Amino acid sequence: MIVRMEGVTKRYGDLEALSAADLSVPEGSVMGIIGPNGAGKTTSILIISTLLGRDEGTVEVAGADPAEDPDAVRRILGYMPDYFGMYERVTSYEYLEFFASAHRISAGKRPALVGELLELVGLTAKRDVDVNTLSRGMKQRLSLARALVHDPTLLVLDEPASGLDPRARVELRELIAELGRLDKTVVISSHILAELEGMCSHLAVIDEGKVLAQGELATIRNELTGHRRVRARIADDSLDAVEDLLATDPRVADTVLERGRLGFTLDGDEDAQAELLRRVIESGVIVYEWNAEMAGLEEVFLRITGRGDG
Amino acid sequence: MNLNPVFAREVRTRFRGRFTMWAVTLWLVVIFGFGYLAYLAGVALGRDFGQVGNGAFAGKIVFELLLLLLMTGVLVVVPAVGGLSIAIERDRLTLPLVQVTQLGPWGFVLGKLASSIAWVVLLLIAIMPVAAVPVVMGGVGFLDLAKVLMYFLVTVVTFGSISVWVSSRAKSLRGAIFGSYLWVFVFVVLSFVGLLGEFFVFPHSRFDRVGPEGREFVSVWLNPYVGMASTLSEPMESASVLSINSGPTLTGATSQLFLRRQPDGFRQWWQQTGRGGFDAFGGVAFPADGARFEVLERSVRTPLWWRTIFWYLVLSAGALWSAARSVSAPNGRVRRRPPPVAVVEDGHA
Repeated sequence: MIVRMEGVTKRYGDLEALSAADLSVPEGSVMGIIGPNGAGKTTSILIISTLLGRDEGTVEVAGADPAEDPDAVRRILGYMPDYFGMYERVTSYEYLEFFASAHRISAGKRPALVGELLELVGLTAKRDVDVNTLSRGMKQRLSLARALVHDPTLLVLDEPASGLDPRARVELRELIAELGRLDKTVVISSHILAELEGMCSHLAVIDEGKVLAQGELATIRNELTGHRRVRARIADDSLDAVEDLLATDPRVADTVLERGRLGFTLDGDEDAQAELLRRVIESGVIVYEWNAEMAGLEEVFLRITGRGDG
Repeated sequence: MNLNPVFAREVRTRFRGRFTMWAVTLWLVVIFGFGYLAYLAGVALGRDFGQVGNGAFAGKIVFELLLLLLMTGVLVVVPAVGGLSIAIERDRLTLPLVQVTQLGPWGFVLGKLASSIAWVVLLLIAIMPVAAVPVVMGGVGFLDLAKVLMYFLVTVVTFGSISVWVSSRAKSLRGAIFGSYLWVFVFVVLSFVGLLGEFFVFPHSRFDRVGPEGREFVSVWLNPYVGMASTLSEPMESASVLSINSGPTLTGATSQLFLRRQPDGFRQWWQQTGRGGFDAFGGVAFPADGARFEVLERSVRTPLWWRTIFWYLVLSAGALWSAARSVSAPNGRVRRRPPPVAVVEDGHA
């Protein structure tokens, strides 16, 4: 585990922002921390990032305590908050060069490093442009480049996609995927669950200062929802036969015909789905399309926090 | 060796463009104009006090007035720039980004201090050709010029450090500026209020003749103008200054009001060696009848500006230490649960 929090409590006056929270981030994972506003996501991230002390509990980031040995943590951690933090009258190049210098990267290495980072985030053309004239998406990418300037193994991104337009959001997602391929461990917090969909390998759900669930995303989904929504397009003359077949299976529910497609909920894992498809095909029905979707993060979150139906 | 990144970035952006060129040019024009007027004033004053044709006297007047202007400039510019230094980082949310780098709080604070005073140091260097004119005229020695320059640098660092400290604690930009100027007010104005307090609490030290029971006014030790007057009126072994042994210069007057030394045992010993009674600016008193200047004996006690510099350095170190603590992260302390108390057999922990 590159990050390990155990029994961490943080209070702001009477408000308990984190309450004996446990969180573990495996090395090489892309961990999404989800939760509503005020759940404790940013507090957790600030503690991990050496910006905030804790009242109780233990925290280790790559084996070092962020409160006791912040320098050791800062060497391997890149932090990107949910705001840009831009200086005035500074170009993109100078902005990154400043942070490279602050990370004690020698003057000789900085030009090439900054050039590579600008290329990575697609801002080479904006090298000599004042950072305050960049678009929101560009600023966000520049912020990501800033967090990467000392080649950290752990990246902590607090609400990275907030306020971005759909295109910028897609670009950011691709960038984070690229970072995953570069063997970086990424921790991303968000209260907009759609942002994290398709980005994370692991998930932690925080609500009211407590980590309610954490682990591999697929495992959590299976454990919590255990069902998937299937949509199938089959030959019209076989619809009745398929509906009869589904009716005999106790795991199938909510069968409806929607715009020429048969939709139903299957309570089972991937094997159950494959087995059902085999039975349908063996019954002689022509299947043009078969699509199974697992529960979305939204549903996972609602179930974990006890706000969903189930 | 890498230049402090905060200093490098701020100096680069602050001195970028034509503003700096125009500002320095304007500053030099003002200084030259002011210096010429000061020269005219020095000549006129010299005429009134029997110093006709004494270029050194006029040079001394020019030098003092220029330094007075420069000190005022320092006390106006440094709190504004220093006061904004860290508060503006909080305001535009760049402080946490720097805090998570490997720069460290001391690197950050020293970079802020250096960049805050860089502008004033530039103006200080720019004024040097003008300030050197009195040296040529004979009113000021090179050693004293260097001494005054050093005093100014310490003063700039002190007020810069205090402003950076205020900035590190301020909740708003307005509060940072206000707090920085408040400290200037304390040093410049309230020190005189303290002087009045001392005057009434210790009546034996009124501005009468020197007495063996006398004492110094300590409340003006931290006053930057009084310290400056001390550097000018208590010269080092600079023959050119010592040669001007009379005349109602600004620092001579200030010296009589605030800096006059009282005799002590060391001075008596000094006198016994036969070297007592030399006169200089600080040793010139205003006579009651205004007809002549009476030269007082000077003590060889440590000059006041030494104490000013000492306390300024102490204050600077304290202010920077506190500022570094303010910007260090994480700022919340880790409170660990106490270990479980082992209970021994007799029931006591």
